[in-house]
Amino acid sequence: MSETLLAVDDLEKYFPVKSGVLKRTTGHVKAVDGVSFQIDRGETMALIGESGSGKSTVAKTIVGLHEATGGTVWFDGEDVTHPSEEQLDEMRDRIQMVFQDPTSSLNPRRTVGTSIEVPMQVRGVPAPERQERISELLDLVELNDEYLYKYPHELSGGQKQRINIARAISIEPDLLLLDEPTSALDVSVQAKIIGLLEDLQRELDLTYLFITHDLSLVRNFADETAVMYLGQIQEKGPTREVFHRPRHPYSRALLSAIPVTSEEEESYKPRHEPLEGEIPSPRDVPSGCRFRTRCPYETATCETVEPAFTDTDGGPLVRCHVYDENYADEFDEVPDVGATAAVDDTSSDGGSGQFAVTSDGE
Amino acid sequence: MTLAEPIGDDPILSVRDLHVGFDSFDGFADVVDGVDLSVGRGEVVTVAGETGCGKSVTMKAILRLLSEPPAQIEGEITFDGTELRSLPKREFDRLKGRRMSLIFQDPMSSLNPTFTVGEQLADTAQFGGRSDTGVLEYVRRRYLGGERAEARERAVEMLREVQMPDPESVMESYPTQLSGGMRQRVLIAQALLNDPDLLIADEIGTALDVTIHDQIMTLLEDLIADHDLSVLMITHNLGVARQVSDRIYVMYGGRIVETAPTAALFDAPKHPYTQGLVASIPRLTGDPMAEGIDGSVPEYLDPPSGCRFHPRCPYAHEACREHRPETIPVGTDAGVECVLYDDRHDAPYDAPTLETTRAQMGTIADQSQTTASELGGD
Repeated sequence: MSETLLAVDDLEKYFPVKSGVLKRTTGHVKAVDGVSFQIDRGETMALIGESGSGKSTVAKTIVGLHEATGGTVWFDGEDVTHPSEEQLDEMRDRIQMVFQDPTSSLNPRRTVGTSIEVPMQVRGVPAPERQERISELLDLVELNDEYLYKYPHELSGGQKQRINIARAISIEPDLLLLDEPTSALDVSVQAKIIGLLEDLQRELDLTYLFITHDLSLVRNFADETAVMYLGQIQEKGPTREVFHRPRHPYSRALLSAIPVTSEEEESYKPRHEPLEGEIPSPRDVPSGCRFRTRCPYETATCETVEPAFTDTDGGPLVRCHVYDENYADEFDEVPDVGATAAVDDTSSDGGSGQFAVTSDGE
Repeated sequence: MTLAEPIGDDPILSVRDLHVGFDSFDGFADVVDGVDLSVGRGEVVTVAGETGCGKSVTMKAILRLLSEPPAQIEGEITFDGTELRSLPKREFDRLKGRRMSLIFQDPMSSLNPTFTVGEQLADTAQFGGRSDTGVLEYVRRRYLGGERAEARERAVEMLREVQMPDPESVMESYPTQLSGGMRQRVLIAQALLNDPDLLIADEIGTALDVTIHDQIMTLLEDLIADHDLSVLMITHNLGVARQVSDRIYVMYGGRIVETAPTAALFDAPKHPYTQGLVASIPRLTGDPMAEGIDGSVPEYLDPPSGCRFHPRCPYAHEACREHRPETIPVGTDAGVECVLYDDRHDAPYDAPTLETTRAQMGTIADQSQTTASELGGD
């Protein structure tokens, strides 16, 4: 399981900003600015960030929808940053995407059956085999043959997203890029889709890059979590670590902002620290640490020196001067409860842990 | 069919047996089916439910935003002792502009892109609730005398109160020049300009990023306390409901299935739907997440008989199919519309707890309970 399937090394994607009569390039939107990570086969990596953090651009650059400005993308040991026609062909066989809006990613004039069939047709799967496979796929996504001749408008959001997933896995890819696949759905449906994705991963040995703005969603789902801010990963490590002891002030703010439904969960959140202001424009990234304009811990160093990744205490990699220096203690104080729970969690994965006793007042 | 109402005799808003239906080509859609709710003075009340449960239609019916026909509205809506359904339009508009305010979900489409923020706010301050202002009077008050300047001043003050950075320059900006968070602040300022008694907020901040949403909710909580507002909030996010409200109504299929004070609702949700909803929310504790509720929301053209949740309910039996359950009072301040709590049956049913429902739904970590054939879809 430790074979690396996808590796992204110092990926950059700049979009030129043109202005004036001559449309000269006057600047760049640094949508992705030095992002590195790798995903092992069969694992799930979560890329978390707010709108404008560049998380979707990362995915689109990986599949070649955008051309990378710098850096390298390795897929299964091959450099596919600037793919040849041949490589692109192969990549499209092996990497598929599922998008946020289940409605706009389905052709309204195609039946469900046809929608699922098209990728296989393109891949040259013979017709009789395709029909059989479509039924199989519908089964896999927990629908049935009744849906074959339905049109997207006859389906609910969750059902549409199931069709999108069926279509994405129809040509047996290795890697799925899931771009906010549940953001447009209600919670009860979202839970179903996440469950489905977990089942499929186990059955088909899929690898996921899961892009979302919702931290709470990946707590049980992702093996690794990377938190992006303004085109750069700020904190990256095993999901359990990132949750039980978020080190970067931004991760802490994200985690503390989640509205939860029980007192027990409140204790798993870091101290509430509302961030000032809003995410700056990626055209005009702050000097030094790009998070400093909203950071409650800003120091003089933050303005001048861009923090590099460090793993001060052997945990997740963090880009933060403050965490290095003297605030480590202050950061420590919060998730005590979480720490115990995480240990508990390791011993019996999925067990309700010792806190279940006090939970929900039952 | 009256919910146990925790509010005293004098709620600021009270809705009795509200029915809203729509005539359509496919038949009659029975969208809101006998909703009772009330907002006490100074109380923050949330109507929570998923897409298509009828929460926005309820809100629009209260504010007369549905045109009749195609909508067919029945029921009694009382605001501060005044029956709203029979009120002439002119008086209703005045009430709506001055004493009830509304914040819509989408901060972009609720502002006019062709006017500056300042103009829109000043108009609200000057003419809010005055749909009957004649042209002459409008021109006089708009362009002559000091009234306009005063209104603009009030608008700037209000922007400052919603913690808008650099309010003077925001006054001169067009909505497109502002970020989503700033637009949401403008809408809040606009809603509070005329110092309303009742604020109705539809999915406030839903379209915003987590950290901005957090700022807006904190701001809203402060403003509610400062202005002593009564609030009717509508949201699909139970976490948000828990954060701000005193009491929650849970809606499903056009009916209110459960109501309880916030703490009680989350400590011990009673209705199987509420339990399923709470269990579906991803948890920070690292405990496995429940697998969601089977099936999908009802078709309003042909709603399920009896309890509208019964096709999706793990505890449903014959009685649920046959007739609509009565609302069973729980204590003095809560109620649940579910036969499981009806102790007049010969053998009272075992009422499920949140934990049993969680286990019943199967968790993602525990796949053994899920059989693919059972799951029709969403």
